[in-house]
Amino acid sequence: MLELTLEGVTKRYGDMAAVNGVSCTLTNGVYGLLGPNGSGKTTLLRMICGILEATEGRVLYGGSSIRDLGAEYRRVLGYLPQEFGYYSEFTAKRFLMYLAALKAMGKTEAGEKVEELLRKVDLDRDKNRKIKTFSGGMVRRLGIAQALLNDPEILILDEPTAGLDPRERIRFRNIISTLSRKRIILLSTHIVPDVEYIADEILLMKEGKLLAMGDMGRLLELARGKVWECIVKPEDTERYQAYFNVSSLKNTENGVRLRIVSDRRPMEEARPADPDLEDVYLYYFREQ
Amino acid sequence: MKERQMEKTDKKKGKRRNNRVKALKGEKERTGLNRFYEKKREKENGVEECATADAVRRLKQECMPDPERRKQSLAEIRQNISKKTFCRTPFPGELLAVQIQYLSAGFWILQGIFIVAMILFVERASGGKRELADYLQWTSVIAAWMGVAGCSQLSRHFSRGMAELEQSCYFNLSQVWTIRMAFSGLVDIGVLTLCGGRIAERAKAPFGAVCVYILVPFVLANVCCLFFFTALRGGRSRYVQLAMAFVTGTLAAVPAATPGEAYAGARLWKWGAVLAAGAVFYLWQLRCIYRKIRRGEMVCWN
Repeated sequence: MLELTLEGVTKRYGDMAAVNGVSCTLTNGVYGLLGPNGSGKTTLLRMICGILEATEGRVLYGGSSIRDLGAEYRRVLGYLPQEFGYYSEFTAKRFLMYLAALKAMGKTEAGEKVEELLRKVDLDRDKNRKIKTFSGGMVRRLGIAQALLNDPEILILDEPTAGLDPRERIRFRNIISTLSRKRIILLSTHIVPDVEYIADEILLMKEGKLLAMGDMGRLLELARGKVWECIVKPEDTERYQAYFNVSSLKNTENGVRLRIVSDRRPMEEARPADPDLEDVYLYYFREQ
Repeated sequence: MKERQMEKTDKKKGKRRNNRVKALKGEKERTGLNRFYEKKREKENGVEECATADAVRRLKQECMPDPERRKQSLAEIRQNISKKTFCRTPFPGELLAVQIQYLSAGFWILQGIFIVAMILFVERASGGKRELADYLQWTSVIAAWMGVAGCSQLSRHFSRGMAELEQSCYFNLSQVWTIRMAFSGLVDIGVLTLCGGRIAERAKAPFGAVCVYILVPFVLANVCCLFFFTALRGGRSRYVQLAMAFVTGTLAAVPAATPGEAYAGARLWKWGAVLAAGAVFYLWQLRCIYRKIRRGEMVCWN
């Protein structure tokens, strides 16, 4: 069983703490990192990858500090940065072969793996095209392929589905689900359904701190009794939206059906509803 | 008499014939025996061989596992092998080969142009009677441009947004940088030294001094580029690098254009001091850059 431990990981820039004392242990499975912009997700992922040095705390892999492990840690790491750069004059295949060489893969092994991954992300027909001719979604798929090149034990994906259309997102989810058994996968995203479908555990981050961590059932339980549904007059909709966190709004024959996330019952007629992950997200990040 | 003699002769002939027949018969009998024995031996051997083959077959059957079990065991072995992670540790030379293989076409073209220009200039200029300053004017400019070109190749990792990704690989950014820098630097210094030798020969100047004069603009251009590269985020852009090439090239041409004796032997120690200071400053800058890369400050610039 693989084990990645974060012990009070902190990153400060002057007085501001981008990540503040994050501690948790990750084992085999898919972890979804959810949080609003500027909550420190990317900074945390960079520290887990060993790209950014923590001001305090440490990251351990199998009980050893990743700083001490150095290249041996990077050997088992796959990373897709949020801002995925590339050499635009390279073809997709050449780009993957270059990264495979940096990942210490042999030429034959790399060639086979590159072909397999290009097929997996549906880029095999475009493998000899220059990356500068690719669409945003194709570049993202190429990014996912490069992260999987070395068959990593730890896969860190920062906003992997940004720019992908629904079909590509489903394909991505399926790829991740098939990979999850024998590795640690940590993905940060704003797209709640992505996490909902594939994550075994969810980490909620706000202002650099880890607010909550647990499986879907546990997080949904935390939001139980805080989600309400009610029907209001169309002219009252804006007022309710100003006072409460409205997670959905739908016009019906009887009026406007609102789904509200709130600690207290918003109105007498409001009925408690079963929470979903979006409600949990809104509940934790309501001030945002 | 004749009849007796004939009878005797006939008898002799008959005896001979009989002897011959007997001999033939004996031969036949002997041959038959041989064949018989041979056949017997063959039979015995065959029986023995058969017995041995049977024994081997029996042994094989006893020793060889059940085909089903064998198949199962092989499948298990294959499965266990597939579970194993085989770690390959490449040689540093492999990284050099990879980096050379993946250097941009622009780098090769630019370096090629500089080298050809340098060689052509030195060879053409050597046609007439020229002073050392005449040779050094354009050689210094090209040396400065070579420095800028080498440095821009390094900043490519950042300007293309690849630094973060490369830093997460087994061979990280610092290693890639070191290899590229060493490669392009050594090639440039090699070319400059060769040109220095040619100039020294033509201008009848000391080889060491000419090398110092040429290496000063090269090192200072590298220093300027690295300084802007680390101090300013915009220093990575192509336009800044072009401006840098223009400025360093112009500055490199100044000593040769000034009326004073910039390349006088008495001033060589000053050139040497500038070269040494430039090299030290360059190394100090590199140390700072490596530290920034390790900490992630430089890599994570947005």
